[in-house]
Amino acid sequence: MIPVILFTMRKVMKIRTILILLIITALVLLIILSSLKDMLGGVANLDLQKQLASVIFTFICFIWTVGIPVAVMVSTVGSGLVANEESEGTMLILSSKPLRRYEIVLGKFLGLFISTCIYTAAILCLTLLIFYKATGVDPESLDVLFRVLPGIFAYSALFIIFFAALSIFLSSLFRKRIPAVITLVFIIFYIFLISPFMLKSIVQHFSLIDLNYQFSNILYYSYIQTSGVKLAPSIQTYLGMAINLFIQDSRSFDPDIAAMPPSLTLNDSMSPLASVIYIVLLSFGFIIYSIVRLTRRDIA
Amino acid sequence: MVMNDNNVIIKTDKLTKKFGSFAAVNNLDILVRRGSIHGFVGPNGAGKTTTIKMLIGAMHPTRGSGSIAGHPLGSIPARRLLGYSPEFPVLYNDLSAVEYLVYMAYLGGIPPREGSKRAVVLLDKLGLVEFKKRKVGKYSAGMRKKIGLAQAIITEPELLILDEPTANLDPTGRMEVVETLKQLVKTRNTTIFISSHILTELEQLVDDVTMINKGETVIEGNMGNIKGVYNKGRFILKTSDNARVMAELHAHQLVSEIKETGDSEMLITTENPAEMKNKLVEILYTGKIILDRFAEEDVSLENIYRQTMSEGGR
Repeated sequence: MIPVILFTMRKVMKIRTILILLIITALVLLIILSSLKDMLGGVANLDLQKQLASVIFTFICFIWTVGIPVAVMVSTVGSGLVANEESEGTMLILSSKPLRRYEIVLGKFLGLFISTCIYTAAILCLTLLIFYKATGVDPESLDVLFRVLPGIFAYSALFIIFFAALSIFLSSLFRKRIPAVITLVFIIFYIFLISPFMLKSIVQHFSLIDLNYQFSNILYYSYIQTSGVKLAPSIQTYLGMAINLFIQDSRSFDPDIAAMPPSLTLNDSMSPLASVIYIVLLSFGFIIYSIVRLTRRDIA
Repeated sequence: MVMNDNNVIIKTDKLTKKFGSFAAVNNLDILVRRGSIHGFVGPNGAGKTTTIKMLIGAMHPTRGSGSIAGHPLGSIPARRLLGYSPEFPVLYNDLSAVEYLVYMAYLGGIPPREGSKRAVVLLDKLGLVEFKKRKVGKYSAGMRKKIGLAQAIITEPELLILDEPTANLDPTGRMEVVETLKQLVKTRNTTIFISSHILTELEQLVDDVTMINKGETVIEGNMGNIKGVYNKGRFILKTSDNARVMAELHAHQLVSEIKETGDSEMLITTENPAEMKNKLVEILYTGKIILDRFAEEDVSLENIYRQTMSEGGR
């Protein structure tokens, strides 16, 4: 299986592609963070600055750094890993080698997972550096950011496991890259845009199967556990709403005092551990399905 | 063919592959001797490639079974023993020749450093060493074919399964490939199971042959024996007086058919070769006829193939 892992890593970690992704991610970060410089740098109260800096940093990582770019990277590469071997005929050669079919699927999954984790570690460090330089926060706030970083990385690893498994599942289901990519794009939109903002208001208890909620739940918990920062109620409320832990409507806000924590309803409360298990089980299911499908199939 | 199991490397027992109701391969029994070059011949659609795909473990048989050196088809020990080169080489186009071969060797259990050494030696042998760093996506069809063969050979397998290994190659390339295969048999006692349409070339290589049509075996066995069956009683004769010899042989009812073949030669078919030879000596001696040529007809694989297939495959 090791040759397949290494070969997949080589395919994923193409220097040019990685550099382009890093540059785009960094440029967008610079633009966003420059606009926050006055807000963060101008906060005289160090405690409040720590809170704001850590929340904004976590939120930026959730949406941008390990959100869209990583989902896109994993999906576009992963969707071709099995499908391209089949459509280009190289699976025939692989099937003649002393390699079990599950090793092909697992090797590709692990190769994609490891290389994306390496990329994510690099982009998280870069984000931290850019955040510190662009916002001009106090070095003590930087300590807090360092503390939340491992939690964000652990969350990212889970995020990568899910999207790597999903993309390999679609790759072996369709056996062609294009339909797999299109389906993945739709699923990403569904998870992060359609389900949290549209379906939730229609279907009660929808969050129990809503992946956006599950991911948010895990990240929020990891943030609370690792940052060591006591959030002011208003910041906690905004963060909770932004990552979809609270249900918000027009009654949640007062024009004078902004968000009103007591009037906010918590979404279906779920243990973060249950969210982790839910995502791991889904990913496991995707991989098992891909293995069974490839094992039973005749390679033409 | 009766063989000791230790001498057999490929054995199939009523191997069958159906796609819906269509049987691409039907109750196929194959025996391949260790250290032999075994030809696998048949018209397009006869089931050769499907059979090969079952042998390498890419396809699951619908019915029947098979083994490679006693290991079930598709099992890891079976695949560890074989190298396979498909009819149309499928490569990772973004890799260089050396990178591709190292990866293929690594999949076969050869560490990258050793794989790299072997890759260069093989590329040199196949006349591609100067292109070793070029991406295989930029290779010509013939070069790709050679790389496809090289990836099968690089692990030095006990059994090589080759699907049309010389198709798309120029004459020099063909000679190089044929020479490489001969060397493999000679130096490493590799068994080669080879499917090819180029029967004249195959004939020079193979010891045994299995001919299939419509998924079923038509002929199988040692090349010499098969030829023996097919050329029994067919002779080429050229004398100073063909007409008289023909008339005499007919008069004694010793020939069933005589054909003039051009270049003043006759093709004689007889059911009683010994008696016909005796009578021929007598006719020549008494008639003072000069014998220019007398030989058993050399039955080629191509002739056998043509004859067998024209008889409906049986």
